[in-house]
Amino acid sequence: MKRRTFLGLLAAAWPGAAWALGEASLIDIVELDIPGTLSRPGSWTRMLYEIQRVSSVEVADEVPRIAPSDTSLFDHPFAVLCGEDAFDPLSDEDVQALTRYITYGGFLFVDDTSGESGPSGFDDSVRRLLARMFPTRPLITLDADHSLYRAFFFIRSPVGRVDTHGTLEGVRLGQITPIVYGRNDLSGALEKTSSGRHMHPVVPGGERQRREAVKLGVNLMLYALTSNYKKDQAHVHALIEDGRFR
Amino acid sequence: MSWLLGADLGPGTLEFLTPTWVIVTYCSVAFVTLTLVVYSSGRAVLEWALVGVALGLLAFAAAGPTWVEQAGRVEEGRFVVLIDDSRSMSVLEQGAPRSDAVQDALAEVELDQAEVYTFSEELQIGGEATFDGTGSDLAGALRAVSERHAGEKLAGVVVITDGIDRGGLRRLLSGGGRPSLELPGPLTLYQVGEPGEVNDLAVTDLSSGGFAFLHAPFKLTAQITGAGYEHRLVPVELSEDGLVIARSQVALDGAGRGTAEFELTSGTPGRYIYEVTVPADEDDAVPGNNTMAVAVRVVRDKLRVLQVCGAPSLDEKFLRLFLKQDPGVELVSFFILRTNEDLGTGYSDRELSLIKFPYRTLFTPHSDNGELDTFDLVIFQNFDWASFFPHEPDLLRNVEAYVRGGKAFVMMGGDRSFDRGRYEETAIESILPVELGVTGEAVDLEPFSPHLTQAGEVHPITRLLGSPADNEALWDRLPAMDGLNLSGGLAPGSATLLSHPILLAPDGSPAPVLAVREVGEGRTMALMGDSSWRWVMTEAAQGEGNQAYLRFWKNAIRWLVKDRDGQRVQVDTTQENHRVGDTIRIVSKIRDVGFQPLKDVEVTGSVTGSREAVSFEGSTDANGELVFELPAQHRGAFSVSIAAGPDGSLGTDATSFAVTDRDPELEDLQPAEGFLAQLAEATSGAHYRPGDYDDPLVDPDAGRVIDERRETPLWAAPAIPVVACLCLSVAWFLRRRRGLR
Repeated sequence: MKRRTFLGLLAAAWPGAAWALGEASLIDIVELDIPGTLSRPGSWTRMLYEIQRVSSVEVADEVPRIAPSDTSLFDHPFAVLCGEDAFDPLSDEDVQALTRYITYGGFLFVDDTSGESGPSGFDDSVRRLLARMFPTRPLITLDADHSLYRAFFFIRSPVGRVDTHGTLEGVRLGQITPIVYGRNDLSGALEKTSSGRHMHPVVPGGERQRREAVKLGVNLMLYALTSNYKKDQAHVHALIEDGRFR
Repeated sequence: MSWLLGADLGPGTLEFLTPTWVIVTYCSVAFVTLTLVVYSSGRAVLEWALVGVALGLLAFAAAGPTWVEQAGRVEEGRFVVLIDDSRSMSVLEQGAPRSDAVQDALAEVELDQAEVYTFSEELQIGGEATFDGTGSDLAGALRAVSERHAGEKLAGVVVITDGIDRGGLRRLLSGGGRPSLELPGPLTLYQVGEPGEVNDLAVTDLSSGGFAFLHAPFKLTAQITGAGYEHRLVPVELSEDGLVIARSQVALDGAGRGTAEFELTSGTPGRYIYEVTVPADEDDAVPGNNTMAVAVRVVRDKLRVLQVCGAPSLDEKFLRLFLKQDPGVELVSFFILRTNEDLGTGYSDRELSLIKFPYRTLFTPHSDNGELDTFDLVIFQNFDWASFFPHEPDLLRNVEAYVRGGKAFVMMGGDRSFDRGRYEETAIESILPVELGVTGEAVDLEPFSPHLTQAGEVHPITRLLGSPADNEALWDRLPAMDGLNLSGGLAPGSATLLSHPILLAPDGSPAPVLAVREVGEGRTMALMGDSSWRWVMTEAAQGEGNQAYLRFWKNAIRWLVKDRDGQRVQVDTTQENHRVGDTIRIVSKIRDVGFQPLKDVEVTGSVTGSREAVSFEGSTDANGELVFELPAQHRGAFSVSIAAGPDGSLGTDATSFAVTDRDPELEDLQPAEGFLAQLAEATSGAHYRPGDYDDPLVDPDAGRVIDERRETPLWAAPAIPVVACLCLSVAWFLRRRRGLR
């Protein structure tokens, strides 16, 4: 689709039609094409829609699915990986490519859609994969004052379709957390049918919880783009003076 | 008798000088010989008695007998004269050096019976007084005399001095203490110099701390002393690199001391020479101490960068990551996360972690309670000003003045930049390297690979690799950019470093992609796209890493803020300030465009001060360095300049340094008459003021005993061989008479 055509359509259907210098510079979300994992492009399109609607970020509406070894992955610095079952270990080449992608500025959100409060096959596979990617940097729980929780909205709890895990985890590189792992099925809360209805009920909080899940999705993208910007002193001071600092 | 003993012997003692084992060996041989004689002589007692005497004499001689006579004689007592050789003795009093009075004092002493020494910080034996010592230690000199003449009673110790003692004796006496001096003779103090005869105004110290931070106030503190200027107001001038920048007056106290303080703030990093000067009147005793220079190095604490971004984007993300990871950068980012178009989305403000955009504070100078000039570099990244302060174009004029005053500005592309950001006919347009006023879309959305221009081939921003061919190949290899902000072409006085391969500016030249400009004292850069982030990710995908991106932005920031570290030719001294006598080490560093050391580069340079210029030249070593050392001989401000390569083709650089000589000896020039009087009293000596000189005190019992020792070697006396030969001859005669052989 030509850029100008796309923008015209987008202006009709999407809030605040986006411009950037070239389609490729628009923000999009790429799904990692790993056998045994889920593909939920509708969830991520919804997330992009919400980002476009509430923020100044300019987004694309396509969600490509790209294998880790495909160098075109590097054209899309925001990637997601979701699933509920175990998946086969990646080849060393794929692990190296993913590690390189993250090291040079890519962002990865991993979404466990199983809704399990305990271990899941997907959880085991993810932990093994991340341990291979960054053997000296284990997954850590993101503290309540992590920038992700106030990248755009204030987030109290990182809920999704379920609310079984009160925190997110992540892999930290320097001052940023380029890999974030959630186990509340965020994509499940965002996914819609072709008719526009939500695909999955959200428990236990219903639509209020879904609304929080949408806010988490927006924050994930804003955090990926601005990293620890919200911890800059100017912001902290302004929020304290305004009585909104949490 | 004297002939037989070898000398006239007086009272003395006999000493044997031969080692004991030699004596024992010889006695054993003599005993065996005597036994054989006795055995062969039978009952001829007289014969073996004579042989025994002869052998005994030889044994005695072999023992090395020496007659030792000891005696002593008494010599008449001498004077020791100590002449103060310090610099304070050379100050002018009524047009003549104070030291002229030394001869008057010496005339009172019988010099043919005197040892004359000089002293300043220590005692000097021999040599003429030059009156350039850096301090006087009278107690040290007296103690050295006592040690040198230990055991001797001197007729007297004479000191010729102005009494300006730096060794502690003066302080001791003024504090009521008693000196622990054991003098070898009575002390006579001849004072030179009259109190009140000296007029001298001086800058005795100038402290700065050596360096200061950019934009932060720092103090220069000058100590002023004025002999003859007590209780007077003294004008003081401060100059920076030769230009007077401040004047003040200092009130000197009763001791003629005062302090001048100047508070300064520098807006440009570098090394500055500051000089504090007090007037030199005609009768000023030491005109050379009326000025003192100090060098101050103004450094950045951190480079403060303001990044204002109209919307979070990938280009913003990667630039922020780069700037945040640089420990030399203090980054202040403001991202517009929500615009008016995004309002009414069903979320309350309490749910949002957003703050107001403090544009007035950011774009207002410090003098008007803003922050603008606290930044070294301002980046507008896809930022549309008119959405935030359309009715306050003065804020943009502030940014223009900020740049013209010496700061840096970058505009990066996007759909809210350049013409799309409505900067046409604003103050920002007047500082941009490109012309605005493009009609229509003002953007081109086709991907393209920029071309390195002729200017770009040599400009430090776009020289990412040392070899021109490698550099061009790198730019050709870098991934395509996603689109371009169109412009009206290059602004006057600007240069295009990267250009579009197809699109043309209105004047027919290739459309600028990256352009730079020097505006007033400042610098600006325009990057007409928003996809420099691809120089990280696409390069990484190809296994190349992000060095091109990092080097591009590092080069850009160095050039924009005129960072010295970004210069390929540099000269520096290891210190900003030196003392007279120090060795000044001047280091020239030459690097290639990739900042690798350049070996065997010809460097010529010169050091220029107020008196003379010194030239130097040489070739750089393997570290790309040429080191030149020279002694700091006199105080003042000095400038160093170098040129590298044939006719300076590789570049030039300059720096400066100061040589100071805070000289306590010249801080207080009044003769210490009271001290000399106290010292004379404490040592039961005499103190003579100028004009009252008289004979020095003399110890009538002075003198010294000279020990004498005379050794007469008795083993060499003729008596021993004569008597021994006589005995042996008689014994032989008697033996032959008995018919024996």
